[in-house]
Amino acid sequence: MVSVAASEFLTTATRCETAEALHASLLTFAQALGFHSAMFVNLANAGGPVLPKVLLGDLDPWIDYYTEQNFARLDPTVPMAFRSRTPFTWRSVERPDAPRPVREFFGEARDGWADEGLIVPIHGPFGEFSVVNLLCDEPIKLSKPEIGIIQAACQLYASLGLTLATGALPLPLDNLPALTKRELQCLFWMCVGKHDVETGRILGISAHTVRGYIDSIKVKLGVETRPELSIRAQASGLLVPDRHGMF
Amino acid sequence: MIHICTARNRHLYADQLRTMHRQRYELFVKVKRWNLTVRDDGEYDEGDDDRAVYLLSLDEGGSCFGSIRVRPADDFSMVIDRMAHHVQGDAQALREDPGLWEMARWINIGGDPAASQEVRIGLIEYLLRRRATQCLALPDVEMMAYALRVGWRLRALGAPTPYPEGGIAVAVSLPIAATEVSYLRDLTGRRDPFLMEIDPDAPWAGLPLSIIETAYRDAAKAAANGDQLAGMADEHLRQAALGKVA
Repeated sequence: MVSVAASEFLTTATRCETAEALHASLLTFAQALGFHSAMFVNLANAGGPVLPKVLLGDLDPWIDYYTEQNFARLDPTVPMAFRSRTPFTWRSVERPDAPRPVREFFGEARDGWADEGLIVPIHGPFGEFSVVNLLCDEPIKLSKPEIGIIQAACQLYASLGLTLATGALPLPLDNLPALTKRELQCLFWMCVGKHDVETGRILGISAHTVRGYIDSIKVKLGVETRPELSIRAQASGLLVPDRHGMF
Repeated sequence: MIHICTARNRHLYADQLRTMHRQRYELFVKVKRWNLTVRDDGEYDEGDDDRAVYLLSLDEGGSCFGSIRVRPADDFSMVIDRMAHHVQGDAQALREDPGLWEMARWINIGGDPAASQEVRIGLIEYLLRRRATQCLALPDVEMMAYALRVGWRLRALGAPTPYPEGGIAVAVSLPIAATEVSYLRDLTGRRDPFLMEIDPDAPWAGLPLSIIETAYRDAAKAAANGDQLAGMADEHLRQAALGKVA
């Protein structure tokens, strides 16, 4: 059921020429799964403050109210969206022992918007964070594989939506740290878990030389450890697929 | 530059192809844990035959850091013959299009994003020359999402479908059309030619690839199109082969 709906959604979505048509096709997909509405919200750009902004979807009065009240400071789904790589429901982050303002926030959300929501985190390749909210009035009963397919469909919807709304990315980015090709190669293999000896074997250089390249990158990026380097590389767009490819 | 490596000039790229297969082994077998055939420290599949064309990105030293395989899909296709369940409906029906090709095994290790632009544009330009009309692929969802963001207008052929090794892939088709090339060139501002195919009968074909690569790079700065690029590089390389220039 989810697979058929996702297939129909994607074959339509990849042919849409407007953001509105794309969103309408997501809505059809979502409704087939029991959701009544959907919304694509940008939460923050890399390193920027949390400023939720609806990119695609119906502008329910609740959204204006949410913004006016600055509910993002109370809403536990916001920090969860940053932490999580997989979709989660409102109920999964709602704690009965939460502070009263948080409980009141959920109460108001249910009165004014929806009873339950599935939040699909979208981690963009350049450190940007957004979510696709799928809303319903019944408890969500989807299996893990079904949620995986929904996540994939939402990820592609987000990518298509951004492209239609703001245009494709031309690249190359010119604000990235200047690393040599060899440094980038060493960085990539380090980030996928290779130790220096293995990287050296792949690149035809010694482990000692690999270590030298990694040390040089650490200096250029202003970090001291390899885990920090890995995180910084990810967040700064040094590991976008353009720099490693693969399918 | 994107080197077009066909059955005809493949012997000139022995080292680069060995590196490519080794990188494929490291990435697809060891990192992504795909269940693929390994021999001689490299990953190979049924598509690596005489009909395969490799588009290779080489650095100044002639080492291969990026590659993608394209191949006509009329007699073998990963999507149609091995992963048909990723396609909604009858996957074999895709073969009714005589211009059907397939791409697979894209790698760009530490490459400048400009090299990826060259692959995205050059692949379509090359397939246009071969009279292709669409090119199948089976990327992971993350890769497809990224490709859509950077200008490949991929069409989905089915639902995102999990595969046993742990990812979710989508069968897609890339339209091969002059309009797609124009769109990508306008998007990126790239006007330079970057496809090069070494004629194995050229008197300079035996020169080191680093020298050939440099000659083409230099020529690309002044050439307005692929024909001019080939002509200018040929002239320079003939001189080099005669020992008249360094």
